[in-house]
Amino acid sequence: MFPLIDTAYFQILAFTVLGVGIIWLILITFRYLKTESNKQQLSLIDQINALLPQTQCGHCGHPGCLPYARAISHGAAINQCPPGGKHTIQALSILLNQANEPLNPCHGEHTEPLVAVIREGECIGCTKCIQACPIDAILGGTKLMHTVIESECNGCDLCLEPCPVDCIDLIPRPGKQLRQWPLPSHIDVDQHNIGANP
Amino acid sequence: MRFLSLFNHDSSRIQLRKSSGGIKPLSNKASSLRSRIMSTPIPKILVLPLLQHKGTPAKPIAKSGDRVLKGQKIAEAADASSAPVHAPTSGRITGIGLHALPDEFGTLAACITLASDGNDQAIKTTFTADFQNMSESDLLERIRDAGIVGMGGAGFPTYLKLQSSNEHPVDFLIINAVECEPYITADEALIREHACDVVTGANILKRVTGAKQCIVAIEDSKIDAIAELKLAALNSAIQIAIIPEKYTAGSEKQLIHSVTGREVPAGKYPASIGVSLHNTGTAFAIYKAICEAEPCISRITTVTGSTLKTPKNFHVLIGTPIAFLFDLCGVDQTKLSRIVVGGSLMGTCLPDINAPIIKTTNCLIAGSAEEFTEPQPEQACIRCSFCADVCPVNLLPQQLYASSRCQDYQQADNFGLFDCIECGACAYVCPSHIPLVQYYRASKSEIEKQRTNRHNADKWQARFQFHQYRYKREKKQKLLQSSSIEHQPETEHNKQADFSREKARLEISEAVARVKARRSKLITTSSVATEREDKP
Amino acid sequence: MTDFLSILIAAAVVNNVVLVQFLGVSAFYAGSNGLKNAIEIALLSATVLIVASLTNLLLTKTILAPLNLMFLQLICFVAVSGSLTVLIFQWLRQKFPDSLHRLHLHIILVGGNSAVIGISILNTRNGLSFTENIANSIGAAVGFALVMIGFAALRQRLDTADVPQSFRGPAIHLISAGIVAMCFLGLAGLV
Repeated sequence: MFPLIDTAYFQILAFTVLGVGIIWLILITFRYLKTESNKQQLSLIDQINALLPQTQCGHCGHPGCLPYARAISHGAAINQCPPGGKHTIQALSILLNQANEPLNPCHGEHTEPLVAVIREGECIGCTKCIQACPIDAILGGTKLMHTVIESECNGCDLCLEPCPVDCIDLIPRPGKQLRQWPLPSHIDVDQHNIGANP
Repeated sequence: MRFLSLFNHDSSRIQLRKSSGGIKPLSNKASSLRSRIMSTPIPKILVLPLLQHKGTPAKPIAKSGDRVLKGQKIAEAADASSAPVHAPTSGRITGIGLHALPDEFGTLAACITLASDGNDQAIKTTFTADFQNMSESDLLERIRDAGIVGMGGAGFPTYLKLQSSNEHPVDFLIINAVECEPYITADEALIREHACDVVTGANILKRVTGAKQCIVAIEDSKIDAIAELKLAALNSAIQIAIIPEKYTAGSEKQLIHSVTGREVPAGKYPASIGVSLHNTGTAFAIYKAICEAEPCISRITTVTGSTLKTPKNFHVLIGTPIAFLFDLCGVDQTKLSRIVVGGSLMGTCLPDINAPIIKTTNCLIAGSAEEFTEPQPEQACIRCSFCADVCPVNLLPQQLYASSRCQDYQQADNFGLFDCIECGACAYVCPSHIPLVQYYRASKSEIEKQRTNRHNADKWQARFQFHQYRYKREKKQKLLQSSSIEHQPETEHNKQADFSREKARLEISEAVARVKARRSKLITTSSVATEREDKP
Repeated sequence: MTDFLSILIAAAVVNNVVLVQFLGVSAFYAGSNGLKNAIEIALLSATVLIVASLTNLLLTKTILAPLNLMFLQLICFVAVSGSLTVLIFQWLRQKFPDSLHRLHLHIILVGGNSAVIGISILNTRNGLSFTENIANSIGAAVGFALVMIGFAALRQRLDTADVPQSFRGPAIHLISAGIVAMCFLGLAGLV
């Protein structure tokens, strides 16, 4: 090509630059990998658990959110969590590089936020619901009245079963619900066509 | 247009920068400026919401049935981010209940209803018009007591804004008289008629914030207002910056950048970079509160639209029902198609015409069908990038739209969704008639909902972990106790106790079986059921 | 030097290993899942490609050619590439234990990468000398990384675009890859 390029000095210079460039590339690779490993990487189970809604309700078939996270990491289906709804399934599908699926209806339906309410006139003070509540949101003692602390209740409905007089109801969470702007009506909100982008 | 002209008042020190993006729609302002500001008669019923600002609702201190005087405080600030509410006129409080707010959803919120008696009797006050001799903290207290909030539409409590600017030194105090949005002329009419009062308010603000420079920014098309302002600011240290007419030139962050050259960082307030920006209406309200001892009980609102016989600016009492105002104006009901609160680009449709005017209602448009045509059907994005050209915040509306449509919220957040000021310029220029701002608002709502859910999940996880720890601790204690009472002989008392325990267990198991049969859920919970029953 | 540079540029851009010579397309497609994934696999493939092609050259020159065992070329190359991949991965995993998660998936992509083996075979077939070999491998590695990272960004855009239902997913990705390949043909006159 150009006579300049074929001179010895230029060749030496060029090869030096090339060598330095390659060494720099290798160093960059190592730096990148080192920063990746220095980041506090949560284990996969913890990452999955961080995406679950932590209601500890057991609708998925596992006794709590952490056992379900463990099961997912061993290959269980990701569409078994009704309180999480389709957003949890979508987030899990992105994390695990799996296909997005609709919620499995035999585990329940996704509802608006619910809280438990005890009909205090019928309560017999047996403390069964207090023992059942996984997050200690029910206040009360033996032979004394029980009540649900509304701000702490997550609507998991584990207290409904043990109650011997069936005096607990699940109602939509009271208070001002922020109205949400909806997407334009022609958008199908259930269809997600996002690729997994780590 | 050169800004170093003779007409500029000492503008040699202000170097205006061109703001990016923006559109030039028809301003439609002339019709409401033909006449002077008109005062409204006192309506029979006034509805005063407890939440007219950004923050926590005020707490009512007057009870139903109380007689109140004009200017009397009827609701006090609940906490630091709240503002009190005052009675706009004298009368009797008929109730505190739910009423529709003038927003797009017609949200029901707690409001105090006041039945006026027509006397307009004001509460007795002792006031000094001499604000020069008041200390800054006194001025601040007075502003807080008067319940003044940002009157430009944002509604941020002014006291809070001024307090945060006290923590950082303020270099620039900017009074925003730009009012770039079409249809709105409230600030222009205010300056035309009360320029001296606005300048006094600006001087008060300058004292309170301790700002080094005070600039009033106004649009170049407001010629009469500029003349009045120059006259009023002749002997004061206030500078006037004349901004070229463009929509979104008057938006807070864009205006700060044009006038001072500083950029407000994402997620932070202008106080953090030494700038304090207030609306003209706020400055006027501050003047009223300090010099005339009148709290925030009225405002200037533009009532306009092609269906009105006489569009004009009104000096309305806060709490006036909007229907009352429209009756005053003479609306042509046959042509009326929709009522918009706010300007034509950022305003929202009003579902309930009985909603009241609140402290942040700056404009009402009674629009005809020709004025506000039905939106054309949305077509595919053709990647023309007109939207990116006009975005004042230099975002990528195309990418935000694509991410929002796919509900890829992480990606939308990465593209700066929360920096979007929802000005509507991108949707205005889109040739495919895509309602871009609707997508962004939906994504923002969804992301905030997810953040709330995440916050709740963390809270419940912490409680669950403590519950497990507590359970283990109690089990350990029981083990220790039971090992110490292991060798007690079985007495008669214990036998009786066993018998009643068995009976109780029987009852409980029957009840549980009833409940189980009623709830037909297919939980494969052999582990769950036994775990629950294992607890004593 | 001219030859070195021209071979490098030719291997990277003009005769791009993925889009013009169509080697290693499976790794290219599977790896361009996301930007982070693409960078990881590109860096790993580049390392393995360069080391493997040099080792294979050495192997050919010293053992296969003198002993007339050229028919074992393919098997030997596959074995060498595979074992080199595993060795390099083990060493990297020791050094950076937490970062390379899901490494077992990447091993197949990188070790069984037809680009690695293809470049080695093409080198021997074209009878390139040592420096020319280095140039070709580095060029191929750079080209592979360039195209993979670019395609990862392209996929990100495609996934959020309004694609007709029947074309969503691999269909539109491969069509786009084909169009990009045609663009690369336009660079043929460069060297």
